[in-house]
Amino acid sequence: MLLSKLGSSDRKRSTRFAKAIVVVTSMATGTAIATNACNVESPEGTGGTDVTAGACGRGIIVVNSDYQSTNLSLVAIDGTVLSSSFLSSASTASGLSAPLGGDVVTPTQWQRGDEIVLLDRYPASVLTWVDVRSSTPTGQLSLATGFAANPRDYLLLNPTKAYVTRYQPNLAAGTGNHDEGSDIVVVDPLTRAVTTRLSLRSAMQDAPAVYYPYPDKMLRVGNEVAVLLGAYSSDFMSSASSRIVRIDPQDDRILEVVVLDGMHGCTELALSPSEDEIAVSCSGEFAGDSVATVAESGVVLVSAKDEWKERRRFPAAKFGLGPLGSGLAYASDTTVVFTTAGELTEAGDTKREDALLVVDTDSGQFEVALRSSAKPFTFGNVRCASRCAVCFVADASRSAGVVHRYEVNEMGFLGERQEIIVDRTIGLPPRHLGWF
Amino acid sequence: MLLLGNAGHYIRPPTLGELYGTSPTVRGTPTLVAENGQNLDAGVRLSKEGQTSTDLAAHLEAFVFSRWVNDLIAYQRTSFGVIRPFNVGSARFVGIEIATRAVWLNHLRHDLTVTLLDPRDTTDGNALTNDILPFQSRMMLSNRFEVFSEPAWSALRLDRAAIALRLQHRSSRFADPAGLIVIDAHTTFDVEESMDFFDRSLSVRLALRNLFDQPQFDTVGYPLPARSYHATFEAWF
Repeated sequence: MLLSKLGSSDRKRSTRFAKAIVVVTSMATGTAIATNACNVESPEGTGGTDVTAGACGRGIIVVNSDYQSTNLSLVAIDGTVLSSSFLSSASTASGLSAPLGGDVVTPTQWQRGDEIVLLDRYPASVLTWVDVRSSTPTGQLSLATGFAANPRDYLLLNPTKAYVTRYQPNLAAGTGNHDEGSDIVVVDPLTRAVTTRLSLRSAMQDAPAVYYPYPDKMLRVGNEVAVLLGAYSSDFMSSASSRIVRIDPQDDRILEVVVLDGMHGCTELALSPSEDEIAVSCSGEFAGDSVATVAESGVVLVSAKDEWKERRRFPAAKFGLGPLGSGLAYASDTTVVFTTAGELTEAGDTKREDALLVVDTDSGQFEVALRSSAKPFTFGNVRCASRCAVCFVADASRSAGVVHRYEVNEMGFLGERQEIIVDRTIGLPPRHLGWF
Repeated sequence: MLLLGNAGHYIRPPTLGELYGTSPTVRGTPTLVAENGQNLDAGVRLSKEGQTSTDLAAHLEAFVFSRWVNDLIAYQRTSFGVIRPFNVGSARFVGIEIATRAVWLNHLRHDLTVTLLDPRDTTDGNALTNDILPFQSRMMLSNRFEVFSEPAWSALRLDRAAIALRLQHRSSRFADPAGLIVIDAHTTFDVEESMDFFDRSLSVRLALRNLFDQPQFDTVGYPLPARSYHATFEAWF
């Protein structure tokens, strides 16, 4: 029927048909053009750096994040921005099979080699090796083994061996290799593979069975390794005292467990410049609340000479600024820099700001160096290089996000401050710092 | 030809789903506040009917619109792998919407709808370089071409029979406020067939969605089913 009608079309109708075809074709062409024009594109990275390491390494890696996506910047020791977008969540085209998520950190340890390691914690659970010069990812390793393992720290022991702490226990373990979680996995950085795992369950013998070890930061102390363990129930509603586990990396054997009695939610670990003392920062117990308890929070100093034992502690109540935050570093052998966490009212207004403090570990004298400018929970990591008398602090609120660079004076306290805007490419605020 | 315009002020309280969540991956935010804003639309509607049923009949609607919003309710991903609504301080939307329909020879029909959108976060003090709002495509297009017969086959009481090819396109969009995570553009083709019987009191519809098995994503970036088949039967009495 249709064909018969087409056959009987007169000239006028043919002209209309031609017009209709022209209109439809024009629309289709316009559509094709608009299709490309309307796509969105992520910004390009600014590459790596070939700066050579000095007495204090090459500088700091700044992790800028809004907890949804991440951008990494590189900053020299003198505060010069070496690369504002070294690698980011947009870097899928450069070889990442798993793009960076919103919960990325760097190891506590200095990373002096040609590659730096990134830990994409939760839920991705992926290690990523990146070439410093080209900013190209050279390898990735998933540590999920069937569950969101939440890797927290990476410690390179030798070219073929590294420790990685996995924070999360796997309550449904038994379906794959190394799938128990709440442990240390031994990784071969050359083959990018897990070789074995080290259970930390025995470090919890003094605590009720409901508490799991939640391994967090690690440090190399001489020939041994210090691992910080949180102790929580699987629903995080209650906790036990945190502890430091002393491990011999030659045979992956636990040598000693130092229980930090009454200190809960310990998350940060720092080594003194003379390497004979460890400082631990404890946030307290959250128990389902957004504000931790002050009574279980503080800074603990542990002697790391022959026998590891607690030397001194500074409860958070001493400072009167709330529980401790996520920053901790030695500015000198006798001064420790740390942060406290602020608080919001129920309406979401600022009740108490974050604070940056320095305490003299011999005299106990302390001073508040800085407070957050607008919102709490915006002070991030603290890193200090005593050899170069400098400290860096991540601040996500001041000037929409800066890294503070402090000169350290001869007393070990913080002196002149410089604000560095490190991420001019994307504009994410700095949260975490690492050495490279 | 008809010229149309509209100006208004609106308040949109958050829905129950936005407040308390709808699934394990789409969580709620109990502290959301109501969105409010002003909108301004203007457009033209053109129609041309043919002198006979086989002549070309065409219909066109074109509108420009703008919206200035405070506390816009939008979605964002969290580091826990779920999405959650949040209030954007202030936002501005400007766009064009075009819809056309053409029927020719009483057997061919073409429908095209295109929406071009410029969604921007205009919050004071926003330090991010990117200001395009997440999960908002800047172009959405639906293009449908149908061959139909009406009446189709009177002996079977078949009133109308049609087969159509539909192209749908959605341009790429950001999944995060910083503009680092991109949800790719996707273009899908569907084949649809419909038959109406007994004065349209009985309908049978068949559809083959995503003919070429292309990856596609929902509004907030979660993957949608690949090629799928659908059948619908309707009876009116």
